[in-house]
Amino acid sequence: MRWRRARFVAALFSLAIMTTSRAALAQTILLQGGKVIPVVGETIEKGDVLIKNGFIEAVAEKVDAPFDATVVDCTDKVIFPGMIDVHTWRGMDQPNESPPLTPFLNVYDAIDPSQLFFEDSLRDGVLSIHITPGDDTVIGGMSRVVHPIGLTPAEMTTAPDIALKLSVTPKNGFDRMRQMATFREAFRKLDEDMKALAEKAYEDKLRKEDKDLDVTPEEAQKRGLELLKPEDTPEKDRNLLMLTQGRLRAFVHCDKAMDVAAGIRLAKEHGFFDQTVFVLGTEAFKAADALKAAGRPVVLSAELVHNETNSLTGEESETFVPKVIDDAGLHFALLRNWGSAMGERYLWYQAARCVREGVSRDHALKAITLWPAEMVGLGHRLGSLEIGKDANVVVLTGDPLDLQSWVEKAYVQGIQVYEQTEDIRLKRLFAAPGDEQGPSTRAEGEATTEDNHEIHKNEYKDKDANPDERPKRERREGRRPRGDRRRRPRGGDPE
Amino acid sequence: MMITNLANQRGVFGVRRMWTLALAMAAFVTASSAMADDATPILIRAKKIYLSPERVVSPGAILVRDGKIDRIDETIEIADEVRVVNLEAATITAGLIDANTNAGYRFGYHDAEHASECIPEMRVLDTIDLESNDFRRLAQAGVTTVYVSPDSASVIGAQGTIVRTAGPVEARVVQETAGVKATLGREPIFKASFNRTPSQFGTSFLTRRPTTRMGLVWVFRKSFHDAQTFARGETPGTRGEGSPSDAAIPNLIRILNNEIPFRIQARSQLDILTAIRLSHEFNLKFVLEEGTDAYRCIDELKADNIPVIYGPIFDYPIGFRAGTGESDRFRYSAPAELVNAGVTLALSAGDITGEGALPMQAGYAMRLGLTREQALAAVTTIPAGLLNISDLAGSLDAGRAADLVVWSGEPFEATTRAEMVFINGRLVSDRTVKKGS
Repeated sequence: MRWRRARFVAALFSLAIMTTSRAALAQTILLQGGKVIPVVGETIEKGDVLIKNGFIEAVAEKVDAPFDATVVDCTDKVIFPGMIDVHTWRGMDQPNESPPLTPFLNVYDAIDPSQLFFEDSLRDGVLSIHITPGDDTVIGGMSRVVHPIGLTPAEMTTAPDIALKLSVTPKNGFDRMRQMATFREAFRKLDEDMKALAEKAYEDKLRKEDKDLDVTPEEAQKRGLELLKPEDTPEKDRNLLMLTQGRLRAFVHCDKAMDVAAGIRLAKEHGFFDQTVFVLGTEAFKAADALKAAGRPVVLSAELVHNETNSLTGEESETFVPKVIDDAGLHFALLRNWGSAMGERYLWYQAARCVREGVSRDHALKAITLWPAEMVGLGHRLGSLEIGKDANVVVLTGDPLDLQSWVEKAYVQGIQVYEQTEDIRLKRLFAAPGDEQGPSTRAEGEATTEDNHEIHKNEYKDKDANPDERPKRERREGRRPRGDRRRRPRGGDPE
Repeated sequence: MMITNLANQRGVFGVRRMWTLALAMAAFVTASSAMADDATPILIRAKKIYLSPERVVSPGAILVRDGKIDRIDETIEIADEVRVVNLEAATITAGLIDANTNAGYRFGYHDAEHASECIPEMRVLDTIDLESNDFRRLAQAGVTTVYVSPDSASVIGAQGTIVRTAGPVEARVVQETAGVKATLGREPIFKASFNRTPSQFGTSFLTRRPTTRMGLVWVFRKSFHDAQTFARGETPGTRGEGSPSDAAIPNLIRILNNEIPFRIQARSQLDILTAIRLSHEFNLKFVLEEGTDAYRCIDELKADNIPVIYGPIFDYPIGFRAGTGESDRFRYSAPAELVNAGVTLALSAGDITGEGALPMQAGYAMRLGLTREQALAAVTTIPAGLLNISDLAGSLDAGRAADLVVWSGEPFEATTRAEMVFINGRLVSDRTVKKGS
């Protein structure tokens, strides 16, 4: 509990530090003399990247520094595009609403900027996060791409209203028949509503022109549909309508191989196939042929290895899923595995595993940068170091696939948002016993111990405070923190 | 292929299923023994051979003949028929040794003993499944020898054992009794609740177990006190509730006489200091397991020359490590600080057998400040020394049984995997040959 609170306070502090710079306008920054891995195009062994007004202005072996440029020496460092987490519901308060059909919801209303998740993302070089509703739904709601920096969801937004989340795999308490029936009913209802609206719109038009209805109801519906503007449709239906018109992306969750065919059929029947990204479970690689024929990009499960035990022989078979998908020629994106205590929590480590198992380095790097950017329709803004793209850049201490590499600096839209030497949590993790400040800063003689003192003061203050003097809300949280699902004490909850 | 298998299973029941199972097992056994009979010598050429962390041959070639390392040299030219494997980027190290795993059995009701707090007469060897997939995964990852530690459910636990991770079952056990483990901290207290019936909260007269660290240390002290008394030829004044059983006494005496290596699992600073205090009281030599807070006790550990089997390393504690709150003060800098202070440190992956197994632990330790040589020592020579098997494993020398790993690149990198693994002279994993060809 103490630790959790300390981490929260640390997160707030680092957010505060990092966001003060947002007040300043995006500067002109020249990242000089680093190894530039642009993902698209050749690697430059020693090159410069010029950032201006939040965009990448130049990438070349030698760029002359403009008079107002802040020059950052990147000798022996690697300059790499910010990595992209293309499917997560972390950073949200609760990812799943309980009714099965909620296309009208928006993750915007549930993003919690104070979550440690965002600080971790920054530290790991993940500078764009596509936050989607969870898998436990039928039609979930609208997603959004955010950068892990900012004090409000609006400030964090890179691009709003990216995609609707759909799940072919049954939600909790549903079976597959009911799941599909719910989809059909949703689209049928939408169709019915739209027809009624269209008919009414046509009738209204005639009434204004003082004419009588001159055609069959079917014809009236058809003519009326052209008159409808998106704002005429009820808000409840608008997102779903945009989906069926192919104007919105769909992230379709298919946990099992058997869900893939159903997902493809669903997307084709309702007109959003060309906007669909399939989000796969580990077992779904078995439908690689169907996926290959569909040719749509896929998001792979965070557990890259599928284990299966043959119950006859007891033999266990292991399949490295990205290799199968890569061999099928599909674009894929990797996710971070939050169930792991180490390594797999990093996107670059997931990419390194792909290289280890025989996926080409080019594809592995694209799977954490360019391909996910394309999946959310931001291929023109994110995912590589190309002129004109958003200046989302990380400076690494070594190769992105090297276990020894750390993120040293991160820039979001041309603003520096991370500096390793200022990272309070990392400092604590590398500190000598009894020295909470950390050896690196002491050596540099920086006298910014206030942050840590503050953390400790708060810890002790909270611990020593008489619980009855604290505000009631805090007391309640103190007894059972949010997210803590311990069994309630017997004899009912005294609240 | 997989789908066909699944389809078949649905139709196969009862007796027929048993027969299929037996046939499949027979086929499997035949296949594996056929692979072992392959007596063609193998010559592997690699970029680098780490004979031990200090001794490197580069470029290196190694000839394995009749299961033994025939020659190691910079280049080997050979006339007779051998299988030659040329891997330009590869490196070769001794097989890795994990000095503290839970491979082969699962935490839970049936594989870990919960009946008593002091069970040094029991052997973990009797509960582990040598055919378990844990071992297969470890072998494929390049871990060739492991110490299987008993569960941490008892204050003084069962005897641990040293086994090889692959090979014929009869040759797998290296040493039946290689240590006894005691556990300090919250884990025995928490796990003691496993054998309470659901209707009982807390303790009852049926399941009286320690519920605090005080109680736990009392059980520890009582056990060794009784053993000491028996060793003097006397009988302790009180025998009964909380006393070690008659079967436990001789084993406790063997621990006191340093005839069985003794280990204490402790994570927090509090528990590590308690372990050191208890070792002074009973004149015990011990190895510290896990040691999350060991970086806070460097002076004490060095004063008594206590080795640490550190790990698993993590970014965030999960499972028991998070639940007990004993990992709250973990530090990234701990392994490097311990090694640089001169503490003998072996790395261990603990209960992790898959992706995060020992090679990853070593890689992570490097990320957190160890050099490659220090990391390599912490997973080969040092654990071999702690387990007293330095003559069998941990380093490479001509004349020894081949126990080595051929890595696709520098060892412990994220992009490196174990291409070939030899255990006790047998090639048990070979990814240079594609399946089905």
